[in-house]
Amino acid sequence: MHAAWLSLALIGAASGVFALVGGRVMHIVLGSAFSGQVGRDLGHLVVYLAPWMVASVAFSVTSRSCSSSSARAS
Amino acid sequence: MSAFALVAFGLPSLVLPDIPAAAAGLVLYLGSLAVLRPRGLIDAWRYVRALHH
Repeated sequence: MHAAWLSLALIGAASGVFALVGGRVMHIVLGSAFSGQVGRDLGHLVVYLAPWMVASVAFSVTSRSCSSSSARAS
Repeated sequence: MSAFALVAFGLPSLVLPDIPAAAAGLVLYLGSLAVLRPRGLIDAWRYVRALHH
């Protein structure tokens, strides 16, 4: 549960930064081949995948808590 | 969290160019988390610090 909160905070920050300067970050990290529209699209991919990341964290947290509560019950 | 991010990064992007907006958004986002201190996040941070020590 604790990791979920920290993960969500990081996902929010990363999504915001990549939404605004994702193209430039991709150009710096991956080189000139990923400059321009390609880098921008790649950077925006982080933003588009943010809901999936949130859902994944939520699933990980709830499935673990469900399995631990069922283990306690049996 | 997503509402924090949307507001913190969205508002500066309306008035500033890309890089200053990203920097301002990051500062606003972290500042809003520090000021509002969501309980779950504070508990998680304390837990991680306790694990580290």
